[in-house]
Amino acid sequence: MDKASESEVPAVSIRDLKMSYGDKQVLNGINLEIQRGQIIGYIGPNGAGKSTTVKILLGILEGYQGQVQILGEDISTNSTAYKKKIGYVPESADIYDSLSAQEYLTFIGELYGLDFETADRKARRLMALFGIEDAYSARISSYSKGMKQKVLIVASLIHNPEIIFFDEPLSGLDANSVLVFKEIMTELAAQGKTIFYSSHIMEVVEKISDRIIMLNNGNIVADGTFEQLKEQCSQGSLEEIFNQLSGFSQHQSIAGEFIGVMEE
Amino acid sequence: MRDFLFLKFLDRLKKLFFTMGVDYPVMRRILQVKLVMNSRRSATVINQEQSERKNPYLASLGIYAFMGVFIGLLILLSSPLFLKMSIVMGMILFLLLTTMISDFSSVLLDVQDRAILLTRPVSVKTLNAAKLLYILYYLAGITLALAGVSLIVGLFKYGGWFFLTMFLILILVCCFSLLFTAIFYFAILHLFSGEKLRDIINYFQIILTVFMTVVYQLVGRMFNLVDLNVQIAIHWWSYLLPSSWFAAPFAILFSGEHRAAYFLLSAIGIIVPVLALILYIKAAAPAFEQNLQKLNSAGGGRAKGLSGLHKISALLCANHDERVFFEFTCSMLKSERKLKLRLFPSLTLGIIMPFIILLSFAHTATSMSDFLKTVSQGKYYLYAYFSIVMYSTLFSVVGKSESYRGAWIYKAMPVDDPGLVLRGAMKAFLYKYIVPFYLLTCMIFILFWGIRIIPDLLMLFMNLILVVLLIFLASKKELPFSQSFSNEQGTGSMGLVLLSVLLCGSMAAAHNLLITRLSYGAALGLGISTVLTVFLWRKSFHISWDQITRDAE
Repeated sequence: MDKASESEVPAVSIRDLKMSYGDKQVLNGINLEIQRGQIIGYIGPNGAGKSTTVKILLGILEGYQGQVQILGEDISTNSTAYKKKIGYVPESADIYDSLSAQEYLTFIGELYGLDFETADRKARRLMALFGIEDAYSARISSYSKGMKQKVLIVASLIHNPEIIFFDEPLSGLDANSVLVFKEIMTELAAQGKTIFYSSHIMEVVEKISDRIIMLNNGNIVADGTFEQLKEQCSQGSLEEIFNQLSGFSQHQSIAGEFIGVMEE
Repeated sequence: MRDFLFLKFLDRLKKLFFTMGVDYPVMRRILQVKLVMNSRRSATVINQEQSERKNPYLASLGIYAFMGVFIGLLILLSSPLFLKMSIVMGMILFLLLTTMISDFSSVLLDVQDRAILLTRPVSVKTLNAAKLLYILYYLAGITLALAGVSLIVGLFKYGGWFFLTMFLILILVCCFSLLFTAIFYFAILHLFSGEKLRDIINYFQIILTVFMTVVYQLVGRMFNLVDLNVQIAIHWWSYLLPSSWFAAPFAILFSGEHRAAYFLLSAIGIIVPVLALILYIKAAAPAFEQNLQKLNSAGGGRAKGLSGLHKISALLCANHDERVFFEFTCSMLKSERKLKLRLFPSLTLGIIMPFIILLSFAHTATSMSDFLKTVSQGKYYLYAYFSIVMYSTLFSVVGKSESYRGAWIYKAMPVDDPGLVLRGAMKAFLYKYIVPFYLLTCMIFILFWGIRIIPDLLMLFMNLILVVLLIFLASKKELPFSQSFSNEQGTGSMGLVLLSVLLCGSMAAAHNLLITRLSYGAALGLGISTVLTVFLWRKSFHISWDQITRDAE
């Protein structure tokens, strides 16, 4: 495939995706087409089916119905090659923390097909840029939450992926690192990388996303730029749009009651 | 990263892996990481510098090798070959299965692997191959440690063919244990889901551990090793015991007993692992990963009232802080699965222990009724001190938890006196486990010996509390649920068990002396014990924060 035609293939294409755990339907037929070079804000209330979608895209979850293509390749063919082009920061912060960052990152790098020296060099430099080079050969179990998060981010980017899934990537990061990280994301998108950004912090999603997709009860309830959503819902912020679309409006009364109970 | 000998060995089989569709370099790398992590299992957050100390896996192999010496010595006995090989194989199987069920579950039921590895270009097949080889490596290490001495003893006593036969049979035994565990977990995974599943696995782990512990204790005693030329009777249930399947080939090959039963047993020993393998490959393995997802799904819990617990804590604890930690400990003891897995086998064994030891005298009696009569008329109920030995060292388990990181609350909350925390926890532990299990023991004892032993049982109870307190005083003071299980000190707890044996032994002797010499000996003993216990109880919980910090280091 030459460069020109490759850029026309959508990064992700999902057709009529359904998934259920037992008799509980989690996804009710999702359709999505995502072009390259975009930052997609992927939002929705807890249990909406966000992480289920991401897990299916990453190939951890099987047993779905529908068609999923990543960079033009159907992921149900059991080939793992497409995963070389994907990076992933899990929300659950799964990591082998009895290893040192060096051991973990070179291991992950080698799984992605880098050789040890390259992985080691890149990992060390990326850690240094995040300001934690000193801890490079210490065990991850001794790290703070933010340091761990930085290791997860480095692990997701070390192989220069085409598509990146970030699930709450900012959790635990200090304000300076957040600035660096946001800048990295913008730069990556400008280079034509696709970023799936899933978070509950609406202010960030609102600012960085080129396109926002909102899920509720296994359905897409909103899809468009922030401006488009604002027009549709006649609300001022993404947070308000989110509340409206997920049918939630009692926050003031709940807060009032909460304080009431506290003071009892 | 270290290059393991095992991996170099696998390198020779590279081609085989490729033909099976396994990405060898990737698998090798995963395996290497797993082995490194295995050697660091006890790494804790607190002592990151210190944790370079010796490999806990090798240390555990040392313990197995130590047990292996005793197993190996059995081969030197002059009893019939089938008998001693039954015992040897039975013990090896027992130890393998218990380690498999308890340790293997963390490998087999690991969902973290999926999140970390399957999101990378790693196929399920490669991951499973790595997991399987990891388990095999683990299993081979333990088996060799356990059976090494037996192999060598067999080599010298029966020659090279014996060595070879035993080696091959050990491979079968390994396969059997592995497949048995895998199919066992598969069945449970298939039937249940979510939290319920974790509970069920926990119950099964407890039941199996208890069962195997008891069988292990009984098997050795059921056989009468003194009779040399006895004709071994093969009962119908012999066919159900894996140990006899694996012992039968020895009887055929090395003591020339060509009995049909032995051939049948040997055949079962080969057929069952093969059947298990087929069942595993055809049915269990493909569906396994699918079912594994269920572990992540959350089930809804039922809301339960705590009012009953409140009443009890109000009754048992005068102090407010103590009451809070009493209730907290009760709730944790009820829900922490790993804790229960540690406690229940010992507690159950505590009930059964006196009877197991009694049974070892059974063969000296002429008939069963005769035996029962002798037992019920004697003072054999003093064997309840064996129960006390089992119970007395258990409190240290309350200091452990899987969620030990939650222990920051002790520092963050306004708790002035850690002694109150420990007193509440101790009361909860006694209330929740020790007293009920002791009562159960008592009921069984009263069935055997009648109500005449009630004063003795009361004195035993006071002594139980006394020993628990003394062991508590001698051990490190850990706040409830504040330490990781991997932080356990093996040698320290061995010392405590020895201390407990000494204490219980001398108490049993004193008890016996009192009731033989005096008609109201038990009442007097009860009085003395009560005074001592009350005195000690008052002294035991003066604990400072300094002491807690010191002990935690």
